Amino acid sequence: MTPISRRGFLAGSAAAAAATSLEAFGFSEAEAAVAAAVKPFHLTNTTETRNTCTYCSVACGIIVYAKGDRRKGEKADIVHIEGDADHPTNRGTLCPKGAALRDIVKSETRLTQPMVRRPGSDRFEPISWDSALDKIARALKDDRDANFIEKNEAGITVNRWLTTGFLAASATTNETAYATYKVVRSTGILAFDNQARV
Amino acid sequence: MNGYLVSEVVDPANPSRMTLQQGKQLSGFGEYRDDGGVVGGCWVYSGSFTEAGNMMARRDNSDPDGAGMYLNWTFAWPANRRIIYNRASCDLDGKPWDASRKLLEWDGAKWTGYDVPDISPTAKPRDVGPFILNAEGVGRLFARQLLRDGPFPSHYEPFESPVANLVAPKVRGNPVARVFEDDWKQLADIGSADFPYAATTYRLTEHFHYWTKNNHVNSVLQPESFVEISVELAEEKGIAKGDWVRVWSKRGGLFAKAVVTKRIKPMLCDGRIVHVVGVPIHWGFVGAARKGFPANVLTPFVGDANMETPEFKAFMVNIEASTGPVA
Ligand code: SF4
Repeated sequence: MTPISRRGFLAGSAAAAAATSLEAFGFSEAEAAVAAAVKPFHLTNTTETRNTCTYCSVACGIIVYAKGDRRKGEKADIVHIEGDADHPTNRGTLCPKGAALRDIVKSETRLTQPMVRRPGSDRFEPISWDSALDKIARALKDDRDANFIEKNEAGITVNRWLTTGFLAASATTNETAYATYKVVRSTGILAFDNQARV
Repeated sequence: MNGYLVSEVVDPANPSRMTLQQGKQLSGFGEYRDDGGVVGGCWVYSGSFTEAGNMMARRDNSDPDGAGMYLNWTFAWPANRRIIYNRASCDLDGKPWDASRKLLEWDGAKWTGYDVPDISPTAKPRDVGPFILNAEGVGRLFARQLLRDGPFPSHYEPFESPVANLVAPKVRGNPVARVFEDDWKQLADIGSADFPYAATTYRLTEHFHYWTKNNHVNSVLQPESFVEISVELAEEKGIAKGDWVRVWSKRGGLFAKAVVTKRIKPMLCDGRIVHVVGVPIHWGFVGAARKGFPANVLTPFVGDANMETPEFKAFMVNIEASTGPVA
């Protein structure tokens, strides 16, 4: 027997139950009418990806449903997010924040490109990744060259850079957090904090 | 992140036997070495991606005897252990304190049970204590150096308070908390008549910090900033539910709609009625929700003595009926 997931089993048994009871009552016309009126289930042909809710430390399991097969060159788009019924933490449930996760993905105020607020300006404007990274690298290097402290008064090597701080993100993977830490600390930056505290 | 071996390891007892092979993923942090033979990013993640594959992708949610450990569901650091210091669930002789909630048990030769023991599996119960990172193996009441205050938590009034500390009236806030000089100047006096109401900040179920104001659904559920006051305070101040109010502390002020509830009750402090103003935190100037003032324009810049967690839950404000912000 092939193993069947709880969700697959429920979906299959509900469809089977509906079909048999309609036939038993001789509702073949009704069946056609129902079939015509029912919207196709919007999660058919979607790719399920397991993940963790991005918000609080309860860390509920979620399933992200995407339409569009990238292996066929189609554009994939997230159409739905719901609780993972197999996950021991939440057993499929989500609070009002997790239940609305799709809308944080689709948020109109989501940043989709780097933005810059130029000196004297009161607004942010788009900038290309290349120019943004060049600007940042230039500013960091100039400041580090000018203010890096190699040795303290006692002549002990300290290699610290106190004039620049770095604010990292909290909603990232362990790998991103690790790489961020290594990059920032290797420059000698001490003022290194996390947006989770903001 | 998991770590791998750059050189092989031979069995010290039998040099012809190789115990660990070069290039292999570590199976756990116990295989870390300080001789340059291991490359690894961070020891706690060791065991998360072993030669058997990605342990974090495991999805077996079986839970033997309902112990709640789920050892085959993804990976928990360190060593896939679900509860750190879990030896503390047993008494000195290794018997569970509560047999109905057993995590581990000493079977006379080794630790067995539902979780990965946080102690050497063969360490005798009377030899090794649960708090393995303390040399004495037990918890500490007197913490030299590591904590600024102790040994026991004692009660101090918040830095801004309607009443002085009854136990030590001259002490304001926690005496060993760090407060910058200019921030001291921004604190209202104890019992100040200008700021007579206790205020607290809190979150709503429908929002996460300042993130979900960018979320359409959450902004429909809780669209607008408000402050919550008691029926009594509303009456005293002539504020009806839904009215605009102005709330201000010594540091800043905000406008918000008033929600009048029986949930917030006046407190009796040292024989005096002290009203409470509740300030949910979630609003700002961008997003899908209506524009609103962030709550931290009101809060003080002091933290607790040990971790410097901000004292955003207790401060003093004033409140009045208002016509709302000037657009
Ligand atoms: S769904 Fe709610 S409770 Fe669960 S992790 Fe997300 S924010 Fe936390």
